Amino acid sequence: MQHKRRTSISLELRHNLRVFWSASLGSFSNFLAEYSPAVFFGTAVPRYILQSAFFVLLARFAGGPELMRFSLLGNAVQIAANMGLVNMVSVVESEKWIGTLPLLIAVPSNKLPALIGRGVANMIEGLVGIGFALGAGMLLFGAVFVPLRLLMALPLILLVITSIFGLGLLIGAITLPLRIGTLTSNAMAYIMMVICGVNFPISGLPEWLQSITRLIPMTNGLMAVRQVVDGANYRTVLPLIGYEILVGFVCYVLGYLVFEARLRTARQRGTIELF
Amino acid sequence: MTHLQSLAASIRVIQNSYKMQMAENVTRNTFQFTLALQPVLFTLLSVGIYRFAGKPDLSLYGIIGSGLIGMWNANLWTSGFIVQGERWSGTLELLLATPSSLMVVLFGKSLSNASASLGAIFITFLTGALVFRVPLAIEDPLGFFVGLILTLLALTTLGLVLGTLFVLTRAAGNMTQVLNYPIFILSGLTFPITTLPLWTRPLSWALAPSWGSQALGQAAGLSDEALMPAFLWLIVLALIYFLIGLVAYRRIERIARAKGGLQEF
Repeated sequence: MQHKRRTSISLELRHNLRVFWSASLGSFSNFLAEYSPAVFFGTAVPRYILQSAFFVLLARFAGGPELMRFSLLGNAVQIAANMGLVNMVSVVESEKWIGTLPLLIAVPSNKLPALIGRGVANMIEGLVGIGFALGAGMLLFGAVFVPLRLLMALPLILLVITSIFGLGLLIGAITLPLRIGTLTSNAMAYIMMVICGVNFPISGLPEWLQSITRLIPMTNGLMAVRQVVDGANYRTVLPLIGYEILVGFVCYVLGYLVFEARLRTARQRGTIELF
Repeated sequence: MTHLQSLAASIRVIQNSYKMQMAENVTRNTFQFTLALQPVLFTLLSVGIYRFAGKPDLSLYGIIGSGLIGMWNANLWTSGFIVQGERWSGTLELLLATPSSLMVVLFGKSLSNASASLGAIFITFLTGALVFRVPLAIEDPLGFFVGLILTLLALTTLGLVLGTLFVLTRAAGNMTQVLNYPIFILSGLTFPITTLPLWTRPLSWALAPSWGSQALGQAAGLSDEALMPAFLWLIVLALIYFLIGLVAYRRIERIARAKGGLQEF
């Protein structure tokens, strides 16, 4: 009996991995169709660099080289975070625009691996964006980062992006019956630039807001990234990592539950096509 | 048709395309976000950074700059999408084929975006007053108003140039995203252009938002320089942008008519 259950779990896991893999391949195909090399290097790369340069110059003018360095790292990670957030929401939203949502609802598979897999290409794009923004910032503004410490912080950056995907899933699920998913995620990305310690430390915010911002993906993770880049070891930032994982996990669970609830309601009322 | 009749017809086209664009904007979530929420967030960001860095005296400068960013966004963003929207609706060729010039239609639509974008300035001042308690004493209200109108005019004509050029590309959306930040940087909207390398100065001078920021800042009392040079620059730039738009439009119209459509762009 126990053997049978183990086999069934293993089969389920393999099936979900297959769905995830297939969705990831689909995300790369979409990405390559949308971004030819000319479009990528002509529009996406300049956008990563110039967006971060704007805030870095503002920080340098206001607070000198120290705030500039703070802003450069924050904005580089924010580029990837923004991409994860906006694209994850548009993954959910695009299902209804393309007309594939009823099909997605009809398939017997778990929807989560498919939805997350669809965002994998953007996760990679986010990492590339961080590389360009940081590299250009170091070259243009003379900000100093030790490359080895940046590499050491890479798993934490991935953690931040992954937990932000969870927030994207949650926003996508909440806004599923509405037509403001992309807009909401864009607004959230800007709000995060203000309150998540991207451009100035959260200690600069009112105290009541500091408590709230710790409940948003990225805030804790970005603090951990900064500390590791500045020389701290992973053991020192373990509580921050724990918070980031917890906040991201809650977003995924809530996002999935809300998404399933939305689909259930739509099935019961027959309103899937009205999304 | 006499010149007077032709002028009256053009004004009617401008009036109707203005109204049409306004009606579209009112129902478009993206425009509402760009106009209402983005200026608030940019104000929170720029003034928040100044305050954190211990420079609260720069708050008014940040508020004016954020307002201009809002105006620019509402203008450039929607101007880029005017043409894209017509293309997606399949009406671009029809518009080009009508006896009224597409440029007149684009002017009416750009003017509509620009006048709506004035709200961004109001929103940033309100955010500054409510969130940061910034005293909003404008030293020369009349100069500020004139500066705002001239900036608006120059932004409209710049939007017209971009809108015209966007006829030739399907990447208008991507291009507007790329164009935003260099303009903010070069125009010195939230930090002075003197912090940029010297070779960028001519680029800054060629951009209306630089002079708009200067004019509004001077009228608000942020510097003691005379207002008139900035006003004159705004007028001259508006004329130059208009001429560039006109030449570009004529060339594009010729290409489109020679090729029998715009499908290949």
